[in-house]
Amino acid sequence: MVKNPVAIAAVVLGILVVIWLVYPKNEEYRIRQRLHELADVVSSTQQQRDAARLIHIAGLKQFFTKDVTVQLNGNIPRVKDRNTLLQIAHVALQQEPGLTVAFTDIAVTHDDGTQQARVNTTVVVTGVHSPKAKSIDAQELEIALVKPDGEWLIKAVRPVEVMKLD
Amino acid sequence: MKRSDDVIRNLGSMVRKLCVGSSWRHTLVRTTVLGVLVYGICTTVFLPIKVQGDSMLPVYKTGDYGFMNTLAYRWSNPERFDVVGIRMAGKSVMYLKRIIGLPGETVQIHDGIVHVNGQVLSEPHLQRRGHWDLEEQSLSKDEYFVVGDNRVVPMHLHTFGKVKRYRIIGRM
Repeated sequence: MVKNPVAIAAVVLGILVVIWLVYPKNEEYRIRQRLHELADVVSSTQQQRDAARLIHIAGLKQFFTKDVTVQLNGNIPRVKDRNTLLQIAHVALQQEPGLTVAFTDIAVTHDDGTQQARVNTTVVVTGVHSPKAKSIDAQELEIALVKPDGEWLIKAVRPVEVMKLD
Repeated sequence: MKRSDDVIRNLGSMVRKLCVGSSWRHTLVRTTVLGVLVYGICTTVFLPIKVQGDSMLPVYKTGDYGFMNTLAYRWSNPERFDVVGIRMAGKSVMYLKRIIGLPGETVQIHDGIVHVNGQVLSEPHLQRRGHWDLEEQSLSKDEYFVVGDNRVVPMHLHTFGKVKRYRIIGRM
């Protein structure tokens, strides 16, 4: 009865891909995308010159609320506004020109109808000091997001303690 | 001439058989089943690990590969000196540490020597140790004390401490 199962499978696959592309993306998907975009903006290459790097840092503004609070770990002072955060990012990216950032294991908690969400994720920061010298640091984070004007913005970032001492 | 043609034909047939077997459909099914099996095992039972960092030197160094047995603690509890994977938000990135303290115990480090419940802990796997000092840490019923083997680095540069049982995902 079925003459060409491969062709039928290809058609079904094609329909599924079209549905996936056309179907409106939910908020969880948008938040994940937002974090990946942020990682792309923060990640810079060693070849980038200062001007390009400045444009890079200016692009960070669109991801955070004005009153964003960021706490990375006990040794780094808590950041309480977006301008300070951008200044710190500027200095950090100058010191570490080959920095790459990636968010993995992103778990989003979002109640439908609200404009707030929480994300639990691991951020992996890789610094390339030379072709042979590479440093990797990872930190579990809890991120609070809000959506005031149609776009998800980061409102707070705090570290999650995996190992602790009294 | 005919003989060399036969040889070439036989060789071609052998190569074809080696690559796709006698039936490409069966080979496709076998390959798919094998691929699904390997993927399933590598994502649920034996997680492939690539080591990054110097925390577990000299046993594990950057670039080493291994597998994390995630069933190791399904029916038993982690034991002292096990090298375990400690999850963060998920299993993509994890810490690799050695258990030195068990639930209910106290752990203290004095001049690099570990004391468990007040007794010196013999650690034959350590080659060298730094002058670490850590005040007594009490472990609750679901906590383990984990630390890396590379104790030559200054203590403040080393990530270690008490970890909850649920974060320990397997044994190397």
